[in-house]
Amino acid sequence: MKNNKYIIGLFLCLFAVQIAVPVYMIVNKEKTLVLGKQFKFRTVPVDPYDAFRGRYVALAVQQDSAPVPGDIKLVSGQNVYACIEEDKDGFAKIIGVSKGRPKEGNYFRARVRYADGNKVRLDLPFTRYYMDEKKAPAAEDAYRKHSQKDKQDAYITVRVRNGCAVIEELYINEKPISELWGHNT
Amino acid sequence: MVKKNIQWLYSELPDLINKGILSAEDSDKLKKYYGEITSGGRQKIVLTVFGILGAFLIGLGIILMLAHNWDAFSRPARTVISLTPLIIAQLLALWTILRHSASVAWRESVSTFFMLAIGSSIALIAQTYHISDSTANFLLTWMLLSIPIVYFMKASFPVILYLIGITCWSGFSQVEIWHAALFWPIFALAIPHVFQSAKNNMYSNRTAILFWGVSICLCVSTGIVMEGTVPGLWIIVYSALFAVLYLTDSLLFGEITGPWRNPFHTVGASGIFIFSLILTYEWAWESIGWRHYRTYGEYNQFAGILDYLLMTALLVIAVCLLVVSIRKRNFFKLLYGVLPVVTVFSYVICGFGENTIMPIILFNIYLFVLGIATMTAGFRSYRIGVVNAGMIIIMAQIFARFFDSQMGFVLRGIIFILIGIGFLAANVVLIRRKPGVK
Repeated sequence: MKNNKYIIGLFLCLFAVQIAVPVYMIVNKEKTLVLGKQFKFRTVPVDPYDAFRGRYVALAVQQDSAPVPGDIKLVSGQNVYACIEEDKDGFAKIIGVSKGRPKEGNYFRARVRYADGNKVRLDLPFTRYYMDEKKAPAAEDAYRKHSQKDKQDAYITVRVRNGCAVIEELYINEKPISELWGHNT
Repeated sequence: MVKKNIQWLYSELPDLINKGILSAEDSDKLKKYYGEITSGGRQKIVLTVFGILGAFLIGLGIILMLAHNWDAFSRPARTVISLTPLIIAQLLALWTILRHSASVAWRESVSTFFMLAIGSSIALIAQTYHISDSTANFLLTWMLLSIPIVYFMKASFPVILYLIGITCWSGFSQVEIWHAALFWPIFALAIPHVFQSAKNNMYSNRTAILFWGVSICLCVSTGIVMEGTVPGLWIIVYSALFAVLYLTDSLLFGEITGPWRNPFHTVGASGIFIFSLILTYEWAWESIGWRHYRTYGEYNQFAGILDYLLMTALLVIAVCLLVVSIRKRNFFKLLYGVLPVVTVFSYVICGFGENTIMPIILFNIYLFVLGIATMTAGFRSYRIGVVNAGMIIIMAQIFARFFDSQMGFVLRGIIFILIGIGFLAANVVLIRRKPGVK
């Protein structure tokens, strides 16, 4: 009987840990969406052979590189913080990277793809927009058409807070995708 | 002892008593020592397997259904739905422990569903918030949250899923962050369960399946996890790994078992053969050694140090097992297990002297000797399977050399026919020599 109570107690501790991880993810993302500052990122087309058709729209952001001060050494795969601010057109611009969490300003976690002298290329944490598998191919097609150089009016809005970045919406021709394809965000 | 062998022994007892070789009391003592053979074993296996498959399919079906109707739900609704499979699985697990803890079928199927529920919860949340986190991070989180299930539920199928999961993780980790140094500690998390199963019954189906999982996981993951800062170090590491797997069986198993029940022996011996065959090609020995040390971008120097530690550990274990084989005067095992010694010697010659010809000659001789020794061992013990294995080794080597050299088709055809006749003749001789065969 005592053994049973001990086992149940341990089980409940395990359950608490297993629930805590997804709940933490939810709370963190919700706080960012509700309290975070909104930034707009211009998008560029993604090579169709790289996109996983049907489950999500594959995204790529126009600016995914940043200058690096000479005294900072970065290696591929390293986690860093990308510091951002708005440019004169109201779109986000990555102005630099930091190894440690910056004390002020807006920033989010990213990973170094490769560092080349005084410039670093980053893997950003918003490359997928999940939607219904039947609607995703058409949405992706529209997104790609509106991300070309001569017709660049697709962008994403991202909420940023304390290093966390969450995609809020994908816009094509100033309209949110939720309106175009009846997708719930 | 293997159940099949115990059944055979029990079937022989009445005959032995009748012939006066054993007394009735001795027979009772034997039966008391080995215990009763529990019936219904096959039924239990079928129930367990069907239970696991059922849980697996239900889990996948739920994921697919939720994915299809996803668009119809609001974000708060999706958040709640994301957690629902996990909560249901936890409640089921608790109920199983309280009410059906003795049932293997319940424990295995519920723990399988539990593991899938964890993965689906994390994946569904990632979809809800468009999280583009790396696949490596997702797999690592899923596996680390799942491994405690194995110990709480005392279930083994999740261990197999875990080994598959961490093998996949190592591949994605190498691609995304350029190293998989964490692999060995997370692999070690599964070992206590494997060890416990072996301790309970070395010859059970559960232990055999776990050993197969561990062997295959090690063979696949080792190459992925190795950083490769020193080119060619994989040659020494894999040769030591296969030798360790092969030589371990003599420590674990007291009686001869079939290839299914002894995966270490099967994987080790097959690995030694295939690996030695690969090392008879020149491309395996090109540009190896410390002269070609890699330091550029994607090679992680710290992970490279782990390569040396792995190589050292495997070589030390292989040498210790070799010493045991020498003491037991098991020279056939010694011949297979000596592969790391041959490899290290070849590596040093090639790595420092840039001589690729000597290792190729050495491995051709080694493989040929291995084939002849295997055939001889098969003849001596009247095991046709072992004889044929030896002939396959010889044939594979000749086959490989044929494609290397400039021999004509007719000559190759004649030699293949001769080898085929050799196989058939060997089988006939062996069958005729087998005692009791007229």
